[in-house]
Amino acid sequence: MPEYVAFWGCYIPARMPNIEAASRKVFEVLGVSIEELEGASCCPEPVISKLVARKLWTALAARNIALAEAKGKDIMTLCNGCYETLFEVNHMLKEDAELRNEVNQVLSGIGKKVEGKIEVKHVVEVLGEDIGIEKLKEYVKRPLRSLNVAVHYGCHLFRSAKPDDEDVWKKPRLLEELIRVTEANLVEYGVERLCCGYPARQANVEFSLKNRLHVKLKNMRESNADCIVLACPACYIQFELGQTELRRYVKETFRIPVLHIMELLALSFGISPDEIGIKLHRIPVKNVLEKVKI
Amino acid sequence: MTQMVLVYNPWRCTGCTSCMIACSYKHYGVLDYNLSNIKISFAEELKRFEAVYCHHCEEPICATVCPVSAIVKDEDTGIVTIDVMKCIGCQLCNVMCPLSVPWFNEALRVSIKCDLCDGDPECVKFCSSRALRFVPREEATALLKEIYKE
Repeated sequence: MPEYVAFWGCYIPARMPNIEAASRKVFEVLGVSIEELEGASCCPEPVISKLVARKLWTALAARNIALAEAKGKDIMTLCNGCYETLFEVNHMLKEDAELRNEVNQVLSGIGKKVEGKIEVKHVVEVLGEDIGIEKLKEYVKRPLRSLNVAVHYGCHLFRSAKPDDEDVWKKPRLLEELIRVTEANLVEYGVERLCCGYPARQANVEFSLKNRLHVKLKNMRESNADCIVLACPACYIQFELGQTELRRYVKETFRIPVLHIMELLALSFGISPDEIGIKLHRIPVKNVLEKVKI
Repeated sequence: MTQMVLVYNPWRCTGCTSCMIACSYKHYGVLDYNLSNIKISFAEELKRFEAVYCHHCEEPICATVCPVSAIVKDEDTGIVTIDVMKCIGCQLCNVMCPLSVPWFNEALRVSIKCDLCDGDPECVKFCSSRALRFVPREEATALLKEIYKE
């Protein structure tokens, strides 16, 4: 089985230990070795950090990549934002020798160096490609057949090396495949591609909640979704906390549970909800557990 | 010199508005949709995206109608720019542009439009889904024909 260094990012360890617990359990079951990236910093996040301090964004990401290179293992992220930053900087450092030299001059001050030897992968690639969809099906002990799932891809999941459709849509399609592994019913709600509104919060919170989150939630509810499944903790926080915040702007009340793909997989693998901290959800997932008879 | 332009694919856009945030920060140092030179809109009923952005026309009507020749097309790069020191704020360009791209900046009292960030557009760098691309004009024309063939 392949080995990876896990890049947990900021949100998962600090605010969503349930995602971390579910991921560790799933990889334990799969026999995938996960190594820690001691000393890792924020990725940093791929919109505002990149916009206001491009060199700092590049150097910090390069430092994280250098830490993984020292271990000789590929990076696996469980966050779309971390994926975009680390993937993009890793790609730039491999392609641009001048940039690599410039970054290495900065990193030499702390005794680090990047050589462009490793890959950055999103967890959906690790599961869907390195392990494989067919192999994953062998581990499903508790099929989630009666569960209606609305998928949310998250914008940064589209980040790719090439601009062709195949590359751009690869990871979103893998996320759908992973949901199908659990035998849950993937509902169509028409605005799957639409952003959750998380990045828009930086410019206009009302727009973010009313023009993005609300639109998604209305369509998800109309499709009879029991829960939302995604692969990004930033989208997760927007959906979980946003449903409460939205009450400031609209009269409707939404309480649709939100699950990270690793939590959905953990439940389908027969792992106990208590073992993965399912009670830590801000929007209870009780209806989800009842529907799949856990 | 190959002239490069922006091209937008509504079937790729996620509506994250990072392009608008990047544009306003690049030009004004703030995160303000009202100051962006590219506008992304989402029609909820149709579930469709669209963008309004400058195509840096081969024969820009904005430049033709400008009474003080404040709008110039660089024949090498193809970039159409407004010289804000010359602009008198008549807004004729805003009205005449078929896409209403130039907009009136109330604070500066002049018309403003995309300058392609002098050939290195910031918006493109923030588009995760590659809905926005910076390509040669011929490629952009072919892509647009394909996108709107219906």
